[in-house]
Amino acid sequence: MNFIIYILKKLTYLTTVLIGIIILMFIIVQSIPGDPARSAAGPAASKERLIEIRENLGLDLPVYIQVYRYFGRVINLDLGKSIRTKKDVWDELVLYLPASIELVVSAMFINIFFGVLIGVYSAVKPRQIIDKLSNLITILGMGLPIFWVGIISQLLFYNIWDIFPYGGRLPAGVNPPQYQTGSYIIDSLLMWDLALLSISLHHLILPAFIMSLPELAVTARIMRNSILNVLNKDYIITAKAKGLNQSRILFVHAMKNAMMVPISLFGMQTGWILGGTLLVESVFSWGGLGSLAYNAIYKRDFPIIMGVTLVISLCFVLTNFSVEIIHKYIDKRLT
Amino acid sequence: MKNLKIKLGAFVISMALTLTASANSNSIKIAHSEYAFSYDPVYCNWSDIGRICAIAYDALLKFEPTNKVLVPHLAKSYKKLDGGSKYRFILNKNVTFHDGNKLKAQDVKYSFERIMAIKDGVANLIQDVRSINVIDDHTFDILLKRPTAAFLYSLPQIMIINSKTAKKYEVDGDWAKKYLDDHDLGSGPYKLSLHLAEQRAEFKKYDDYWKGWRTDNINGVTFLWIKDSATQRLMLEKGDLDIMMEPVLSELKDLKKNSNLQIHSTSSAVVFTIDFRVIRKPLDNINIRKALAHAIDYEYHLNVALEGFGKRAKGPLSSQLMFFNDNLPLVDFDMKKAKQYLKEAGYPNGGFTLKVAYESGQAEKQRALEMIQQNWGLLGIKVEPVGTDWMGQDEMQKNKDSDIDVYLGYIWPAAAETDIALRTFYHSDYKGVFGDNAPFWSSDKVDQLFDSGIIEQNINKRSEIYKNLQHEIVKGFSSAFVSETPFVIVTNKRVFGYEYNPAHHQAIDVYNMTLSN
Amino acid sequence: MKKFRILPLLLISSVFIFFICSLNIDSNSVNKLDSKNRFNSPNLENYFGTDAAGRDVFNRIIAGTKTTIKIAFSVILIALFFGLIVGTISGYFSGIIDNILMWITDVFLSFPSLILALAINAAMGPGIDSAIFAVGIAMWPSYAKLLRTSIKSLKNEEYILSSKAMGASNLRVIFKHILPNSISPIIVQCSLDMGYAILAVSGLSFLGIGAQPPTSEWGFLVAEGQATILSSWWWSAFPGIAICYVVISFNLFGENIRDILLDGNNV
Repeated sequence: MNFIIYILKKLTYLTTVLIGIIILMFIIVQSIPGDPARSAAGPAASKERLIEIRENLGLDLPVYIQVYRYFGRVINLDLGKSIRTKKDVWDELVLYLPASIELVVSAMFINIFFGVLIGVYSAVKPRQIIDKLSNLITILGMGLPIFWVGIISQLLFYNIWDIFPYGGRLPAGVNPPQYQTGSYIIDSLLMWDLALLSISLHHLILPAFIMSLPELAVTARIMRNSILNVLNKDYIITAKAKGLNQSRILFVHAMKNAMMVPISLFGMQTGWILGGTLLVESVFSWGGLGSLAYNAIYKRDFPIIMGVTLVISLCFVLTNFSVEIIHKYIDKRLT
Repeated sequence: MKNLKIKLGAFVISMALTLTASANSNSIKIAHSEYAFSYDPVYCNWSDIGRICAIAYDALLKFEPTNKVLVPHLAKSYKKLDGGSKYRFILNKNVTFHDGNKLKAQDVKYSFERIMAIKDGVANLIQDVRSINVIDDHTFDILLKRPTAAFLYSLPQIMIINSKTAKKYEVDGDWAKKYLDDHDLGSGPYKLSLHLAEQRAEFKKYDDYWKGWRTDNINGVTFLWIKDSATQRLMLEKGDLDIMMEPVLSELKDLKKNSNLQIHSTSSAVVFTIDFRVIRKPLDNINIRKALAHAIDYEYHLNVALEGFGKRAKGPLSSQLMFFNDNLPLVDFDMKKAKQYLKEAGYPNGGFTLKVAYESGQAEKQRALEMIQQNWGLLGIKVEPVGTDWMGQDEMQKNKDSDIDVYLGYIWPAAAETDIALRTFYHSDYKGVFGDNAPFWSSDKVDQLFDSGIIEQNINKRSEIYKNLQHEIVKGFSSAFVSETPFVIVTNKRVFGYEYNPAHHQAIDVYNMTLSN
Repeated sequence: MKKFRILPLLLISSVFIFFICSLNIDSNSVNKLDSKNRFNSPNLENYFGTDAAGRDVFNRIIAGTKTTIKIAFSVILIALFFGLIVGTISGYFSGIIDNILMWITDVFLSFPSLILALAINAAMGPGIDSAIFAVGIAMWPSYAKLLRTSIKSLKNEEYILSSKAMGASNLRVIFKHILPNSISPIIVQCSLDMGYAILAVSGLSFLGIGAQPPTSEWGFLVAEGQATILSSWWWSAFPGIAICYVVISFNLFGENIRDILLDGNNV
């Protein structure tokens, strides 16, 4: 019961944060140069039409009313029209969102899976090759500019070694699977089209790996420290003294407690990875929100930029919320 | 665990290879870096959309690049009537659209009226059209507001769409605009078969194309949007791409060494200019503009920015177009003269800042910017760069109150005809309406020349008028005319039959090309 | 008491030396266009080769060092400014003020920083100053939270309470007792964030909305060289390595400081 109350409390707080996000977006939108009436009306509009549009958009109303109307529009998913394509921003976002989610989820998967694996391995066998290697990767991973790594890896893996494609989600001449979720991996699985699935995976691996790199380094490091920490705790030493098998100790006691630290980090890491979509997608021509935003920046398409910002922040807030709930749940189970 | 990964990897790679191999056969893959936000032929004047329209749609007339003449296309024949105020066309009878509907004169009427209603894209090319009179299913008249001598030259850009089907898809009287954003209603040799937003567009051969097919025609076209030119080059070298539309010129010396590739380079109809907004201080003083023009290192631009391709431009018109005036005075690179003019203008040590807008993604503009930063800097003038993209710059140029002082731009002819090429850039009617007149400059004399030239039917008299026009423009120093831009594409050596067409700038005439395998 | 380790010290000193060199470089000569020496591959005269306009890449990278350091410090200062104010007020005063300030902090934390920086930069226009401001704004929440936690835990310590009992004003207590004792985690966070600040701003420059020409900002250099990377890899490669080098130096030094100040356990 307490747990349900906890969830509800978190949910309420989440809603207030979302409201705050929308207010912040409004403030930012207000500082964008240019006349929104002119952008909406188009270049050939007459003076009368401009006045009409100004009234429609409520540009002359007091600020708090404008905020309220902005709220209303956002809740109704009316995020304006793209300056470039004249299509609804929301429609564009929905079109490109699945590709980014696919990338981010894959990157997080790689991050968690390999991060934990490497972290555990280096904790169990400290100061050996894997540990030193992971140390090196950690240091590099946190320092490498992600866009630069993307370009260099394209050079290596596509041009020189020819292992991975240049980018894109599918090669030319291959049709995407029937649209169900927008994720090619899931959709091709649903159609049981294994060939398409393998091609989609082939295109997904490199960008997802590059995106996970900075966080992978951190996860491995934190996992390692966390486990070493736990292994040194009294009750572990006591258990060892009692003669329990080492690997049982490790997996049963240490892991559970050690996992608590990285789990709380996963939420934040998703945020950082979400931020990375911009750079990685543009380098690999991925066709997700990052590519959309990159084009929008270039063309000063502010409605799209704001739309992408809103959506990514939303994803981040929701992920954080889920991670906190999971964290609390596991915490409760352990104590 | 490891073994499984290797096996999976091998499986993946082999599948990928088989699939891409089978997709190669007789289809041409073209890459460009700007995404086409719509497939609507009303936007044919935008190169990325024009490229697509050129293969999916037909126009009444075609501009034949080898002999530089207009030839009949959808129109079997035409007659000039009423001293040039009326043109009568007779259509070919065997033309069908991609969904089977036959081409009729009503389709032409609808296509024209549609453009006039939408008032965007190519609308300006037919602004002198008063109305279309349908006489029967295959005959119609185009009535003009005045006897525009250049009128026929606009026609290759006006695509005829399937009006019966378009009317079915109209929403709120939008003339099927929304539908045409991602569908095609054309009669051209290729029809749209796949549209993946922001990634690629695929076209397949339209079997019932009215001009028929040879045995060696290309079966399909794929347009790929790859923003990164290094990636385009990699794909080209690997054979994953057949044509790279906008190579970085400095990469060409490497690409020349590759025997699998061919470089096609021509002088184009486009002129690179550095425009001075004459309504802003201190650029309103012609001496300042002269100073800036003399401080531009033209040779550097040709050698460095254009890597030796292209040639010097002396005026707004390229030598590729008719009525080119070869006797215009050359503005030379002379820092002493520049300093002299500055002194005469009252700014012997410079001391002001100029905001310069340019397309930050283009190497030619980047090099030009660096060069003027250095040279104008030596005059004591600070250059503040404002990087943007084509659309953003167009918006700035259109805006009378923009705070940008200098624009790095192209004079990009909307059609292969002199009046059409220069009109939106220099006639006062277009100041602030179109973004082309970046300097916001005009003169009564120039307007007069335009107005007399457009209806002058005698070709020698026209030549005089337009040569004079170019002279007047150059006298005004509204821009520094730097170079005639080369048009370069790199193709896989299996591509044959490509020819540059100044009327369809950056379009690839796939129908008249072949692939050898 | 842990000591300074050799490697981080060496690295950070080398960065400092490059910084001093870059202050003395004449930017006009670095940016001088040289049409005869374009695209030279790395050789004895041009250690890192030359670019499309004939400029020596090594010189440009050194010249860019001062921009990079300026970026790192400016971003941190902006983040500290907002973070300290919010964190101190929030930590010291509980109740409504604390809740509201924490709500604002969480709102800013919910934007992945590159995305928030992007939105702010889009509104403010391109340029390195707006990029610095944008990234700084995106980074202040962590400082606010750190300080608030410190203050909340110190607030009820004996010496604070007795100080107040003796009549010290709130402000005096804050400045004389609380801040000095909360400094350690802040310093650690600063040194770790330097690297991230550099990465974020160079990312924005790479996208074309940060530094503008003729700056030699490293992210901008990577973007400039991208189109010709296949024929002239050095133009993009070396600036990227430079970014990596400086960021890693700051990171290692920061971790060293953390080990010294906090003695190990907090991650």
